[in-house]
Amino acid sequence: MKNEKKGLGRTLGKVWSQYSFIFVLFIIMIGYAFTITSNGNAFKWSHIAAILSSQNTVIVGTIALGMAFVIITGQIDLSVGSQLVLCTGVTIIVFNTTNSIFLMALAAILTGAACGAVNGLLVGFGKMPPFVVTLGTMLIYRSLTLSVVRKIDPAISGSSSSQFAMLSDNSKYEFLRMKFGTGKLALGSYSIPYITFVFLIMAILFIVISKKTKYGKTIYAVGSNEKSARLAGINVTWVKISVFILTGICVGVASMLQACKIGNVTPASSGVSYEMYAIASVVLAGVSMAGGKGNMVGVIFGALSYTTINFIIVSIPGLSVDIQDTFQGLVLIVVILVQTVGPVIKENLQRAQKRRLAEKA
Amino acid sequence: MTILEMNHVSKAFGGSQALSDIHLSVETGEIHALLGENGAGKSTLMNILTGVIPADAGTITFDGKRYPTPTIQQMEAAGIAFVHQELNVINDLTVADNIFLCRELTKFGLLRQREQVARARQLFDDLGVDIDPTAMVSELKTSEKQLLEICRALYVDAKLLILDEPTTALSNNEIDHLFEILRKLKAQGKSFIFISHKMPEIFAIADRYTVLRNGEFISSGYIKETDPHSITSEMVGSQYVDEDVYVPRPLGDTILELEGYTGQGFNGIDLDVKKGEVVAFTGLAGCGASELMQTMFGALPAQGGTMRVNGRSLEGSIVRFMKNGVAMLAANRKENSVVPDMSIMENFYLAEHELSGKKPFINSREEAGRYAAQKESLHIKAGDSSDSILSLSGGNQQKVFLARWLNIGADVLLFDNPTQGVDVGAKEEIYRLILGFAEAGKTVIINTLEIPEIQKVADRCVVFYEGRIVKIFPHDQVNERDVMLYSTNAVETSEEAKS
Repeated sequence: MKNEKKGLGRTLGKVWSQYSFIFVLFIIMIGYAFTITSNGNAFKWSHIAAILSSQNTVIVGTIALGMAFVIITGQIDLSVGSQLVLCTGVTIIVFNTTNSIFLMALAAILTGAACGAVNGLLVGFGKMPPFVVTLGTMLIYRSLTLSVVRKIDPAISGSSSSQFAMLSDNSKYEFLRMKFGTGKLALGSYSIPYITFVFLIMAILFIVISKKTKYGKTIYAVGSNEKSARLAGINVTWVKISVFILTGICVGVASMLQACKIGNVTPASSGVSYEMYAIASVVLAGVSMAGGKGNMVGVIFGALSYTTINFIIVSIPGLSVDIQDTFQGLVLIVVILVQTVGPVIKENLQRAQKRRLAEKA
Repeated sequence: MTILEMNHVSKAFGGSQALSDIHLSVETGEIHALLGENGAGKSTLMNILTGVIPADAGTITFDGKRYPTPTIQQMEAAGIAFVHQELNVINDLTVADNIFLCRELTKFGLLRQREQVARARQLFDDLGVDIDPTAMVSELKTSEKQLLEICRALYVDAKLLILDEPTTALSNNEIDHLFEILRKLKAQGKSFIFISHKMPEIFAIADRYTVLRNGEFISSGYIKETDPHSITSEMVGSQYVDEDVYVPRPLGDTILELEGYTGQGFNGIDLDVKKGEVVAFTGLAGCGASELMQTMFGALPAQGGTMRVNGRSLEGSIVRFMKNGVAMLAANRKENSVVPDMSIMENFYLAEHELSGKKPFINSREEAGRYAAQKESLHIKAGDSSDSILSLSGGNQQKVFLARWLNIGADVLLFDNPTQGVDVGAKEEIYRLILGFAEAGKTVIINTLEIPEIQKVADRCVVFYEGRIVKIFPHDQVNERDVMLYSTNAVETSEEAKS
């Protein structure tokens, strides 16, 4: 009376539960192809390339990598959108004044790490809930940037309106904006934007950390059972702080990309809700909000899925951009519903089956 | 007059008989001590009485009425109140709100708070309880919470109160105060079933007693007519002890020294342990042995005294203790050891990584080799090492955590209740492993409540009572009755009674 499952079904079930993010992206891609063709156009590589180079994929995706670490430890970071504005502001100022790519990148990463460290130290040593701490710094980081932008000499901020812009007079501007920021690598008839590679390299780095390093395992352990982690000798406070710093570094890299791709940043409106988009990408990646679980490979797919949903909504004629968030919200809820309700339904079915077998016997 | 009669009560869970043919009778206006070791069936019997679980057989008569199939609501209405060991008061409400919870006094759907406070105050005055009805419960001391719960039961006019180890968290003065109130209530005709392990208390407060052992009724009688020694013998019985695992070994030099070691729940502990020795800590729940063990691993802060391992004084973070060869297998495996989202392998190597952090990358071949060696020597029955830790039985999980600590090469192994939630066969294996470790020169300290366990493995048995060492038995003098006498502090009580 053993309840053995068939080989193929079982394998498929296992693949589904571990790699659901691939299926999610696949289904969303089919939806996108369907809307394109029903508009009377052919679905081409250029559509996919647009998704790959979209700022949603590249900038939000890079931030989502750090966010995934934070969420795996069972915490949250709401300040990343504001961090991005602050970091990009600093990054652009450093570029405008030094015309040095190295110093610019260094400034981006150090500023990000510093923002993350503030969050981490408050959470780790202040023993405050991350939600509240990062809610606070979310307000602080953006408003700090907003309050200085107009007071800075346009020769440094690069713009006389309320934004920071890369100075096109600088000799490295051409390379950063035209070659790197918006340029593409041609592979035969396909082309992939350079900045997408930055995202992918970051993603690979984070995947390796999560799977191959001792530090990576401690992130999962802390999120899965903090008490056990502590009693196994793990410095739980440090792990919690470190993921915020890593997220800050991701934001720093993202701010480089923002500067090179967009060329400017507006403290009042840039990066608004990016924390939510990053969290959404992480959730679509199949990372558990309760902590302890999640495959970092999924974050690449999560970011792509999230962007594709945007593209579908934009490409449906008659749908205004205003309704976009409604659909994004719906898709998010449906995906999570499938993940949480799925196992419950499965269990109920199995129980019913067992009962039937018992009745027969 | 008899208020409660339970006769021929039996209950089986699955195949095991939890209670068979139990009798319990409680008179009106008496305090009846219900005695027995852990697992004797006291909780099961009380759960049947309060309608939580149905009995398989037997009769329950309460206050002159038969209850063939009691339910929780029925028994509550009849006047039985259960004051649980873990207090069921709501910290974020006021004292009065707690008393009137679910039976609030209302007018037009609004609370009559002034009335509630007045009535609560009246109740407290009658009992001589000094609690402010408007205070928040979170600000009360544990003893006051205990009294609050008793008062809540009395407010609904309970006739029989079940007190489950009510003094565990109380100081001596608080216990005296509680007893004073109990005596006052007894004079008013209230009855109590008093569950406790502590002999001094039972002899101070109880009128009659009933002893259970292994789900069976052993004896019943008047406290006046007995003494702590004979009650202890009745609780313990003569249990079969399988001696053949233990072999005396030559011991090495002193490896661990505690001097005036003080921390949360224990005070001024002096102890020397030799290399290769197996020492057992034992005592009642809350005796401080578990806290001592956690402090000896850096999981709780020490408040005074010193701990030296190989002559080096140790304090600070857990990693510092690990670096000096100390490892602790924590109690409550599920809560303190298991990392549920991780595989067997990941659970295994987690602690070792904290010591080898200079090499940041995981060498999976090396880890697999280390795991295979431990799996072999500990006889871990597990499938693939990438399976979830939760796929293993309790005993095998525990062995994985043993392996976790052996993997760091620790010399001093602290095992807090190592056979908790482990089946009998696996228990025997764990005992054999412990003796094996000692044979190989490791020093093992186990903290356990099970005395047969101590007889199987320990060279010495250290008995704790209220945070202090009261007795150290050498291996051949460990027997259940004497250990129980010291851990319930019955020795002192009988000496007092004699003088």
